[in-house]
Amino acid sequence: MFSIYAIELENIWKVFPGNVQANCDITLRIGEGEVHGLLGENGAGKTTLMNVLYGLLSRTSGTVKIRGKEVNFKSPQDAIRLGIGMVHQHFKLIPIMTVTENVVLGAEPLYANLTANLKYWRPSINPALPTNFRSAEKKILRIAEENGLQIDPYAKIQDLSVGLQQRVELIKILYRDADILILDEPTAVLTPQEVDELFETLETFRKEGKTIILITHKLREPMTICDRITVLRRGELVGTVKRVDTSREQLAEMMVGRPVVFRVAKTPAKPTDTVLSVENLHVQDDRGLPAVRDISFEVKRGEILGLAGVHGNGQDELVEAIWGLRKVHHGEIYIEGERVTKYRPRKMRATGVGYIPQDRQKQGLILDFTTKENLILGGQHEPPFATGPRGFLLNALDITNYSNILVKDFDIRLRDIDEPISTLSGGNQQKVVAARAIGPNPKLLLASHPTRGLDVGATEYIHNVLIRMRDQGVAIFLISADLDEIRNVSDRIAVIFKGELVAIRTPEETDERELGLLMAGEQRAIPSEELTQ
Amino acid sequence: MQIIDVLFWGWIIQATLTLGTPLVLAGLGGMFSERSGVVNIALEGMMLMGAWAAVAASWYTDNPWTGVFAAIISGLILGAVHGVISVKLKGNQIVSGTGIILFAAGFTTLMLWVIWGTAGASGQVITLPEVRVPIIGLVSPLTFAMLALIPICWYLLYRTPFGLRLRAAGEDPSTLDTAGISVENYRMYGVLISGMLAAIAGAQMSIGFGSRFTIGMTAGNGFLALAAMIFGNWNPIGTLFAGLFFGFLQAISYGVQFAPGWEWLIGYSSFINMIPYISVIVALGIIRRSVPPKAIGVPYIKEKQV
Amino acid sequence: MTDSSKDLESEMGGSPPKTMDGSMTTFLGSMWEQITGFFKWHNLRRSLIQVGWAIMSIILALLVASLIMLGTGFNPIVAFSTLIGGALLQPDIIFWWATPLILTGLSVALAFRAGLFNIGAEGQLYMGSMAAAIVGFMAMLPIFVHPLLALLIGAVVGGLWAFVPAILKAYRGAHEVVTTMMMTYIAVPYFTTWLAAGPLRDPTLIQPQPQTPAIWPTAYLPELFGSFYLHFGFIIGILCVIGVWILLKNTVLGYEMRAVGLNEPAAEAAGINPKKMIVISLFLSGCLAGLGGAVEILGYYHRFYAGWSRGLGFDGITVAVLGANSPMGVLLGAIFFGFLRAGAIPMQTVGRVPAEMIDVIQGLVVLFVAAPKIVEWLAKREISWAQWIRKEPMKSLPIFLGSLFALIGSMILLAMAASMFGTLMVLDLIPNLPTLILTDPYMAMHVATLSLAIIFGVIGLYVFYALLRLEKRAIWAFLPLSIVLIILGVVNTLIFGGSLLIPLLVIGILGFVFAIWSYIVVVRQGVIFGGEF
Repeated sequence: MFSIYAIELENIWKVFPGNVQANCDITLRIGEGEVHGLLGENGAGKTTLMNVLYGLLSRTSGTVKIRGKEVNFKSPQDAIRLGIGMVHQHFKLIPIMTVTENVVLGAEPLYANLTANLKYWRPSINPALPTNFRSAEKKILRIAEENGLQIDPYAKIQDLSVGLQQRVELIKILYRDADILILDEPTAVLTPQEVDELFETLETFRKEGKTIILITHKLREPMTICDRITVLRRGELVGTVKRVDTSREQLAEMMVGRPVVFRVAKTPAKPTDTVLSVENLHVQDDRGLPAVRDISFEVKRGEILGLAGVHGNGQDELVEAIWGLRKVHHGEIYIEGERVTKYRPRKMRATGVGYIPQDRQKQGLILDFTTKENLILGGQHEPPFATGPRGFLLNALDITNYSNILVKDFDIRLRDIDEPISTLSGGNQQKVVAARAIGPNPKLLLASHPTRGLDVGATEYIHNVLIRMRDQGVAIFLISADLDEIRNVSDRIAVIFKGELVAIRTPEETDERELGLLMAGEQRAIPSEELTQ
Repeated sequence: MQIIDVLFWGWIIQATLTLGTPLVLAGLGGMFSERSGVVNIALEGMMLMGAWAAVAASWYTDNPWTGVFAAIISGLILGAVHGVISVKLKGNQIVSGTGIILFAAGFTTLMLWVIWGTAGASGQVITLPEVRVPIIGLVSPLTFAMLALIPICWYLLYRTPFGLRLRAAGEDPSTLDTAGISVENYRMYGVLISGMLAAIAGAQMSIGFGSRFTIGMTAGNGFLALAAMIFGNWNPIGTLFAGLFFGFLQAISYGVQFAPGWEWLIGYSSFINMIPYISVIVALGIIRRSVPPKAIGVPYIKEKQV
Repeated sequence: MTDSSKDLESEMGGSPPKTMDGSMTTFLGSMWEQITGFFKWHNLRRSLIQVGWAIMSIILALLVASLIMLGTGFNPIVAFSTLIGGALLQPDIIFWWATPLILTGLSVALAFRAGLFNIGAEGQLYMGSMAAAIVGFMAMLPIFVHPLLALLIGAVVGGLWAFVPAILKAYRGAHEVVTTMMMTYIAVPYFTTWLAAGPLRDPTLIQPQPQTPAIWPTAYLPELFGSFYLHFGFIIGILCVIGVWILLKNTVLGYEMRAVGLNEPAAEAAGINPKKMIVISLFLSGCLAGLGGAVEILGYYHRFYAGWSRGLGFDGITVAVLGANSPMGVLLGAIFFGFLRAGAIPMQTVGRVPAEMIDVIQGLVVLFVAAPKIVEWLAKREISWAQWIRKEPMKSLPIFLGSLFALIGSMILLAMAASMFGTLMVLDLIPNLPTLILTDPYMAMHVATLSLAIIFGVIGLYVFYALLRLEKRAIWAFLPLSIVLIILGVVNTLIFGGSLLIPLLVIGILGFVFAIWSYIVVVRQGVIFGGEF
């Protein structure tokens, strides 16, 4: 099909310490000027494979050829030199530095007249010569203009929106004159409209003859833009198909290994009385800037309220403020009429609130604790876990029994509850977090990105748990960056933009396009005072 | 009266510069290390080792400049040890720093015994030739070196690829790594520069304004330097002012004991000597939470499953 | 068992009040669970691995210390034999030294488990000992009450000395390493010394050393086993080990402290107040250090001397680090350092090696423990070497033996360099060295030999390391190393009348043989090189 291959990966193996096989014998050829989709679930080994190609990770065995020539990258610098650029899923940008500093990092321009004079001892002294920031800024502006990626080179990254940050990442690659582009889940943080814009940019890149690899776990995207699609599952290559010969259903089956139901089965919600009500809430972020402005809403018993929004629009601050981790600037929070604005997490828990934190490794779990210890985290000071005079002692027996019950109920796969939780897989770790929040039978569950980074099976499991909880009469407040998740699971959808609620919709009365516009702040449905009712 | 005033203030400035020099130098050292993401509480040990090496080398060669050179070498060695343990081998940086402090304290005491056969202090050596400055008086050449280093460090940190990469290593090492620059190398550079500067600071204490080495002579100056760096918000100019401020407090605590009219204080000299230490505690207590480099103290492990 | 599972069921529904007698049985059961849990294989295995690593680190530290002794002109064999013999002759001194080390070690370890580095245990120890001494000589109390009160006040004052840094850490974010160290400098050379020299000085004594009056005999801690040194403080130390073990393993407080120490954001999100935990743990840590000072005053010194401890608080860091911050490890580590301290005096008086050598060993132990990777690396290498040697002895042995010979050779070279340098130092020739080299051929020879010995000593270390790692370059450095060894052996004996001819010749010639043999193995038989087995 292709006369010349841009990239040839042959029999790539990647084994991580601890004998974790991330890539098993993968052979993949990508043609010059092709847009190639790399599809697979979270943890299928897509990113690892591309990091191996990019020289960020060493491979255990196998060969890599670029434009027919065998290469052996020791560091990404070698890959960059051959014109490979990569945009990582978590942006590799330093928030406190400017756009220019971020773009030039590792490829800093020097003053030409200075380097010419110092020709003979240059390589060793180079990094200590002054950086020519002016020429860098010029080049950035030129690239921005040529590709329609307008940016202010003096702005600090922390002041830019996620969409603009991605733009900086693209400029970073173009600045290094790359013609093989690897994009890792570029659409995860964008609104549908921004995704369209990105694809237009990619389309122009394609016309310029650049080779593009698009890593994704969503089915829609490769079906829109890619020429060919390769599917990975559990580190193994399932197959490569042409877009024109395939369908979403086929890709899904290749990806998961069994037919997939796209929608979660659920009955209509039967909301009753109000559990959580938030009134005119204002919250500040870590830098003291307003992050949540004047938000009011209610969550009723037996319904799931989903909060949609682009990452960084105040949703994390909102949920932290409700849970009591973050100070409420002004405004009130009530649970079943009880004023809980000033409650700290421990008291919120006692009031009947469960919390699934957004990042299970950073906020959810203590990785060096055993599974048992993690399962009681937060409840350790209450009977039956605390015993003896003034509840001073831990009751190991009850902790073990309780943990065994939760492990069975939630189908957590592990060897021993006395081993550190870091030995569990991501999905099982998330089940521990969920089990811990749900175990004490809360009235209200705050679920912040509960399925981030999980594979389809684990995601389905968590979704079913949420819906079962709802049917048992729990009020659920779900925050997610995944619009599909919000649309599939929620009974009502609230949209947040720049710290304000711009709309509340039911899934039936809205569509992806409208939600996208709302998330981008280009449309504002109702003034906020109407949202309470 | 006025002459006495001039003399007094001249003396205060001289003492501030002299006593502040080691603090600023070691503070700059700490800054390079911490900006690259490696906590360096070993400054105290590196200073002590530098102080000893300077005296030992001047003792054998009768030339204080070889002393400074020897101090630099000793600082580089300790910096390399700290770097290898905390950067290459991903050890605990604070534990490694403590190990260096303990080792330096033990080793210098041992060598005092080996070289001079005494337990408390070394023999007297020639000090660095001081430069006479009007009003202020004699100033150590290392003080000038320190003053010259401030703009150099600033330039290095904010205007060169080296500085950009060093700061990136401390803020977000994975970003530096994806840019194709070795995080380990830049962290090693940071720690090595740190050891070198801290050792020069030690040399200033032993052959800059003293002329011998005594046991534990750095007396917490490494930690004062660390505090000066935190107080100076991890940048060279801030470190300069904070270091000179702590130097000024030390000068006051010396000066008050000799100042006419203040003789009654001599009985309380212990309390006056506490001033710099107390001021560090107060300073760290009252300043707004300063923002350290984000990735500080965390070893960068490349081959980690993402 | 049934009792507790009933509790659990009711907890799942709602929480009933707990009765005291029920909690007692569950507590006993949970203790049993803890004890059996300790003997579970994976727990036991973990502890054994920890002990193994500690022993490896000690051995490495002793090796480097021997090198330093060789370099400074002491005989390590004499040093260690007098140390071990001296310590074993007076076992009570070992435990007497271990007593305060147990307590300061526990102090550092407890703080460490809560994520804090209490580097200032020395200051807390001094404050505690001063307070105990004051209670000891000022108060007139009956026999049991007096020491108890003195210990209590000593502990509390030590705790209060850590309380200031604790508050500053929790509420202002001041780094505890700096503040506890500052508090130590305030306490040790200034505050307690001033007290002992001024207001509290014993008026009846004429010695210049600042000291307080002797405490009343009612406040003495009883001696143990009729020893002049060992006192009841050792029992207190053991009780504290058990107490801290129960605190960390079996109490809610310990659980919360560990949670904060391992992952503060997760602990906070789960409703634990990290600030409170920081304050409590650092206070308790200070209490333990203060208690360590108090038992020494009441048990042995019977008055406060300025500068009595000479770094027991800093030794506590070593003990904690060596004991991997577990109470049992601290106990073992303290006894080990008690052993070293007990042997230090005989080593100095009999073996003529300064007692400061122990401080050097201490620093080295901490450095080696700080980098478990070194030990891990060595252990792994040894295992793979053992396998390789069993499989292909003819190929592996020359390389392995060669690396050992390189090590021995380089050690001899370095020792030789040190002694030659010592000659220069003793004769005070260094200042005029440049002129001497030019005028005196004997001196020139001396310096040349010296430099050669240093250079090839370092090369030898590299060859050892690189051969173990199977780096090809090592082979090329190995041959010249062997030749230099032979030459230096001859030069040393013929010109300088040294006694190194036989060992250097033997090692040089054997090294030569191994170098050639390894070369043949590598080049002719094609052993794969490059750091992989």
